[in-house]
Amino acid sequence: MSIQSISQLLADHRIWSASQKKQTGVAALSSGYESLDHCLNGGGWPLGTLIECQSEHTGIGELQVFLPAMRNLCNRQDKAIFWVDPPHLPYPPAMINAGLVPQQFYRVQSHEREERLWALEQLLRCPAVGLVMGWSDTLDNTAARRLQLAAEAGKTLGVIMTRYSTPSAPPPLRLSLAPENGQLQVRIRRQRGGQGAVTALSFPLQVPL
Amino acid sequence: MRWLYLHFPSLLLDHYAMTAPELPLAVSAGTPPAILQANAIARNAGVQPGQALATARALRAQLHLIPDNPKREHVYLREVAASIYPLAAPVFPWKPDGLLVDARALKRLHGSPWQLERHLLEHIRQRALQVQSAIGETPRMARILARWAPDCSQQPGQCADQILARLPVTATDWPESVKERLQRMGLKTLGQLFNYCPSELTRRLGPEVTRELQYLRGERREALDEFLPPPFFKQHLELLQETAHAEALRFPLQRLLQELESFLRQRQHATDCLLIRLKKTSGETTRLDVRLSKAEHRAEAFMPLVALHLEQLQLDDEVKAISLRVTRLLPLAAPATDLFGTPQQTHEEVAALLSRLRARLGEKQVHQVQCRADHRPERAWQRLDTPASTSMPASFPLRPLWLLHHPQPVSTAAQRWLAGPERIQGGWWDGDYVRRDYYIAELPQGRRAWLYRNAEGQWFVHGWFG
Repeated sequence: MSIQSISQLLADHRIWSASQKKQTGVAALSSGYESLDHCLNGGGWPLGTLIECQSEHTGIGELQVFLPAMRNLCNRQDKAIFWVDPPHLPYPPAMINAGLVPQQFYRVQSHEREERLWALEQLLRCPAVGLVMGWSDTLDNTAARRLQLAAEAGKTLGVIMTRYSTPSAPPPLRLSLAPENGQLQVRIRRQRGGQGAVTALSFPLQVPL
Repeated sequence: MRWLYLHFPSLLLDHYAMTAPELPLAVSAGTPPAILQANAIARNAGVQPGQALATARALRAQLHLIPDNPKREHVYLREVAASIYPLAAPVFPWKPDGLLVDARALKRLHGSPWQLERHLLEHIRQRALQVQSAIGETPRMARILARWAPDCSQQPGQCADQILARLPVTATDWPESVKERLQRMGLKTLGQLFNYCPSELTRRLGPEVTRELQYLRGERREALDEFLPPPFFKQHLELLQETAHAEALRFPLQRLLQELESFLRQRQHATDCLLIRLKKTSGETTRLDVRLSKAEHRAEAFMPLVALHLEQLQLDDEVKAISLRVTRLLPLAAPATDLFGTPQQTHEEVAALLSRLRARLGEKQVHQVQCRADHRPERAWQRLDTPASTSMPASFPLRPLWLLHHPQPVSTAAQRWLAGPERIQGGWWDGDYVRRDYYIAELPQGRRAWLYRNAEGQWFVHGWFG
């Protein structure tokens, strides 16, 4: 094997250098957490890109990750937020405590997988929708591709919360959440034109009883 | 006074031909049944009014026979009246197949009666209806001319009286026995009848004939029932070929929706609720309730939603008729076109999206939530479609974002206690008494739960801090 010069290596298009963070033209919405924005290529949640957020359990603060973005969308931009098949009832008093407007939230319940996909596609395709969050146990190959295309068409922010991830075909941005020592670890498993990263967010209970 | 009479010789046939313009059709009536009317395709094959059904079927094998139905015919007549009402009011329906229009009242709108006639015929022919028309001095005169000499009134110069005088006495609506007696008296044409001595006529045939003649000549005024358009939209469409395919219903439905659009447009109304009834051969009826999030008036806005309902539809039986009914009419809001008008557009897009989701998933499957004044956590929320309760506090004690519909018994020990207790007690007034102590604790796997202990000392999870 001959030794190649560094310039030859760099000329190989298969090699991607971490220093050249690709400036994607995609607009982004700040996540509201400085450490997280820093890790996300584009400086926030990318619009028009499907985000898969994997967390095995509910109740670990998984909604907190998206709360600042939701506040921004429903208070400042007056946009509607859709939750498709959430695991439990979104509780309005807690939403008001978190600074959200419950009237901006729509809860959509589907009966089966095909209907859920259809509803998510319709929602992602509509540019007037602020945020689409869907809950599903897994996200398979074809579903991820369909939803990604819909998100690209609508330039919306789309998040799919999954319990178990399918590593074979992850969407362009994939996170996993896990609690650790009272903090929430956010792992960026994969993102377009950027690196994986780990960041920890902590969400203290705001009001002591 | 000048009257315009519109005679529809084949309302039933025309109605069926709307959905199947290329089929041979005939209306049958009487005992034994015989052909009453036939459309052009059937007539080309030799089918004639008065023929026995067997003869007609032998002439044209695929002939579709429609039983005569005066009630339906009257409904269709009223539909036609409703459609010309915006052009020419007042309209007087004349059972079973005519409409009378007061041309003098419309002079300023349409000009001369002949211009009015031209405008109305144009409108009626667009609806693919056979029509004969005539203008006369009195309602009855216009009626007889339209039925028996429709082409003569096309020329304004011709004197209607002369044409009328030449028509046979059989052209009137009198009973057969009267017509027969007149003929036996040697009175063949209406002109002869006009010249006959009225008192002699009364003596021989009774006062009815003289009265009819007075109506005809305008010596006595006709009592007419003015048509009042219905305050809502209702149309019925009979399908010639029954179908069990939901897809095949699209075309007739599209037609009904277009009728609805013109109805709404004329009245400057919109609607957010359509009721479609599919009548099946078994006698059952399937209802489709199509709801829109925002009032609309365009067929192109209704059609995608109706199509979504059709996709969901399971037809186990053949559909023979469709009816569309709209009773909720709302004033049509002018589209807001402001200079930087994105918010308006955004809301419209979301409204259209909600309509689509509700059409496919079901009315109850898409909803909003809001707070409700109640101490009990499971009652402190409600769907937004219910009327809003009294003013809400701006903030609440610490609550979880996820509330469980049914509290679950706690199976594992808490690892850390974060807050509590908070006593919630109430509900003695409606029989759902609650006395609970709420705690916030961290369960294994780092899940933060909202737990409570009831009066019996049992522990339940009621929410998760998502």
